[in-house]
Amino acid sequence: MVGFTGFASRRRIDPALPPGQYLERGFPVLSAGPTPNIKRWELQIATETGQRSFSWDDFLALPQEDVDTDIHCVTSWSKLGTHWRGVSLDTLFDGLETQHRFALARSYGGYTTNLPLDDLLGGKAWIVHTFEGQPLADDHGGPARLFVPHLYFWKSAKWVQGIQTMPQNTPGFWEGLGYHEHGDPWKEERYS
Amino acid sequence: MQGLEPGDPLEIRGPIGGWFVWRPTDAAPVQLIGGGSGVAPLMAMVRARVAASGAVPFRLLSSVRSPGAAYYGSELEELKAAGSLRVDTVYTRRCPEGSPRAPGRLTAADLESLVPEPRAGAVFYVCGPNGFVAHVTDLLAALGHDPASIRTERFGGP
Repeated sequence: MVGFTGFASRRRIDPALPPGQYLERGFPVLSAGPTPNIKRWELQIATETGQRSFSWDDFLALPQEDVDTDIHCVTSWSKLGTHWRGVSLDTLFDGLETQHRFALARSYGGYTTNLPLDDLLGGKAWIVHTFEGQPLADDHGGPARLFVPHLYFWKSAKWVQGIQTMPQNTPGFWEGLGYHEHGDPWKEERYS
Repeated sequence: MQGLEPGDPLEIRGPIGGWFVWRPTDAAPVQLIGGGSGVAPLMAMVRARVAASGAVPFRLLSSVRSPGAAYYGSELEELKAAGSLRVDTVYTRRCPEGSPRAPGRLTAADLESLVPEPRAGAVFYVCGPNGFVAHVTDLLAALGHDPASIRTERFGGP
């Protein structure tokens, strides 16, 4: 008896599509609960040595970056060539020291997701507020969501409220329900 | 299914996630709210509740276009008649003869009369097209229901 092999051996449609993914032209909405009612937006970035808070105006005053990339949802859709704008995590963490190797992102509404810090720093992750030239819609995580496009999209926490570094890899919401702690779409890291 | 041919073998794994799931050990009252075919996963919870013959209050609110568009009609009628759960149906386009409610999408007033009060501490499972789920969850939150008590499953884009 051979174990589950996933879809890695399936014929590939487009080399930009990771294994087991199909090309989606719309933008499906997936959320585990209601869209939160955010009365006053504030972003907190924290390590074991310090914490920074950003008001909406503070956040928009930071250096902004345009990101053109593909996104991949674990439910098997991918969108190619999407355009986003926001602030690099390198900018947000600038000046905060840490020995931690992991981080937990927390959202308005209570959602959480965990990531290795190496996947958040080094030009790999942003907090974005604009999609295709328009303010990010609230059902897609507006006013601002975490954006980690090289991992499955559940890591790109909607309505992000804060990111805290962690000494250990502590499971977030979906990770605690059986999803992979890392989530690389090219390795099909869907489930733990 | 892109790239598959008739006769290709498929492997199936799952279910994965376990969030939009009701378990017989869950003690809180349950309110299910389905839009159109979104009632399908809710029906699985209804059947699990019946199979477990539990005592947790279970209610289903189903929103469908017209009487002919109702899902699981006879099965739900039997469960209603047996007193297994309360089932309410609202119609968005056309109502049955003599219905006191005009056809239309769910309103705050509908939810006030058809789901438990916030203090009842019910868990809500809401499933349907994305617009339906967004509308219903906004209404529930505005009525004072704890957003953390509302679980959603959606389909379709914006």
